[in-house]
Amino acid sequence: MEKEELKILLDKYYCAETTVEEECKIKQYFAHQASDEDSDQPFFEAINSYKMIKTETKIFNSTSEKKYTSLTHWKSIQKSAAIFLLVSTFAAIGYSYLNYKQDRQEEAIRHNAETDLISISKALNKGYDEMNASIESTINLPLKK
Amino acid sequence: MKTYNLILFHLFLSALCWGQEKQVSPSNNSMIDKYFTVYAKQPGYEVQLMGESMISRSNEMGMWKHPTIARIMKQVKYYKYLNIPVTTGTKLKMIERLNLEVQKDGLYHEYYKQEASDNTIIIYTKGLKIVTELVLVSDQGNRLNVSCFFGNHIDMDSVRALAGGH
Repeated sequence: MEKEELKILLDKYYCAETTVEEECKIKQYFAHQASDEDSDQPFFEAINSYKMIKTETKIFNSTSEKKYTSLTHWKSIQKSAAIFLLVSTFAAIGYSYLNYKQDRQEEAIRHNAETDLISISKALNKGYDEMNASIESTINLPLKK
Repeated sequence: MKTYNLILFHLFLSALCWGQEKQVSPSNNSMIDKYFTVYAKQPGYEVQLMGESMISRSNEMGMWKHPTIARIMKQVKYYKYLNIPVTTGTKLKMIERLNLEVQKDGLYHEYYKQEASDNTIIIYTKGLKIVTELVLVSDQGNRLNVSCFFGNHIDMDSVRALAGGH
């Protein structure tokens, strides 16, 4: 493999843009490459650090799947909880509103009953007062001689 | 044909027995039900009922604004209220018709009547010594109100004492 091509591949690798085939190509190249062969020291330092990285595709894939599955479960639980919270909030608001409405209706009819009783009482008292006044005025009438 | 007649006779008898056993709730036998249901189709006709449970709950919770009202409401089982929009002409006709029918039936007694240029108040009672229904017919502007209080024995002196009577 040419140096230039390797550089491009490494750049791609560090940008996480390499395909599995390209990664295998890089691996194969460095498996046969001695670290002190080239004068390009910083470049080979990078190569050495690359060698230390374990890139077992199978293990990586299975872990990510597991993580992904648990993440999906967690997201669905979060969604369900949010929906439940929303529904229960609306239900609670609706229930309190109905209670409030019923309380207001009851209060209104109670007020009617009270007002009516007071009206009856006032009317009766007025009637009795007028009757008593008439009786008193009749009693106090001067007798004809 | 005989069997058919026999079945009809049995049906008639059972209907008769059923009718006798069925009791009419006092709240459905008020002055409103007797004399005002003819206006039920009129727009704005509104009837409200305070049932026995609501009254007892209000009594237990001390929801009445005055202790005398609370005492009166302990004697009351149901409260029914009618509100109907009227014009001056229709109001007079309704009151006149009510008077005639009350006199004809003899179920209610005119306890007190107050007629002024701007309003009319008529108090009816069912029963003379033991009042089982107390009715207030009054008008407020362009609305006629009929309120019925039912009980086993409504004490008229307690009602009078509410507005500081003697």
